[in-house]
Amino acid sequence: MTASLDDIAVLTALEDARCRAISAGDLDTLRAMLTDDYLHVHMTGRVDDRAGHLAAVAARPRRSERGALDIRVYGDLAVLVGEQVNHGADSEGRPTATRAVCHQVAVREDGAWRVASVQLTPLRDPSPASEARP
Amino acid sequence: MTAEQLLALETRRCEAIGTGDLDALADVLADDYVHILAPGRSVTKTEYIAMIRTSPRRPTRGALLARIYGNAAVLTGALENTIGAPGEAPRVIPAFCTQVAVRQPDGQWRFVSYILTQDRAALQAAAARG
Repeated sequence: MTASLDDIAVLTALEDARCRAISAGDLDTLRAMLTDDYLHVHMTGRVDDRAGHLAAVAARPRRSERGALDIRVYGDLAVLVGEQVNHGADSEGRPTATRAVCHQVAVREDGAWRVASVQLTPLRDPSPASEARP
Repeated sequence: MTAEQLLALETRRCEAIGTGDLDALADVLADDYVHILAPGRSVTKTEYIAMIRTSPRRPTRGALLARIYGNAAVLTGALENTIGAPGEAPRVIPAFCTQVAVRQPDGQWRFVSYILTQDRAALQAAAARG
């Protein structure tokens, strides 16, 4: 299916805004762009709902950056896939940068796109062992 | 599409993988399917099916949440992959998956994307049990 350039632009801007809200710790803005039934799957496999995700962002400040996005639009649902780097700090305050692949689902409700699902999986360097994984 | 029909589609997918029925697997995946492996690498439908051919596995699903959005749907839930050819010591990988299915132009629902993240807590618990 092909996506309109308008949808791609809107979804790209939505993702830019989501990353800015996370990086600024702006939880009200972040909440407004997530659906009520939002699910967030962390790199550890732990699952949060919207309230849990907002609490996690508040408790552990981070700066999120995205690489190139592959955006596919299927009517009122879109899938966004691409690399994400989360910059933060470890328990001793040392800076950390964690690379992951992020799979997102956005849905159009009442004419506005909002994010319904985010799942991250850590990006590891390719190796024969890791390539045999599921 | 109802939640029950989406769960039935996922059952077909798991059975196709578990039995190595690659034609049945191809039938539940859309042509533009993208599959994100646990190491973070993305593969196409053709690449994923080739991987299942060379690396047999049996997926088992836990509780699943189906969210239907018109002609598209999101399925999330736990998965255990038991990996290994017959005669080999199996490896069991606990994980969590998000999948998206979309109604195709021929009227059939097929999966268009899949991401798997290993469940670190479950892996650590299994390692502690030895």
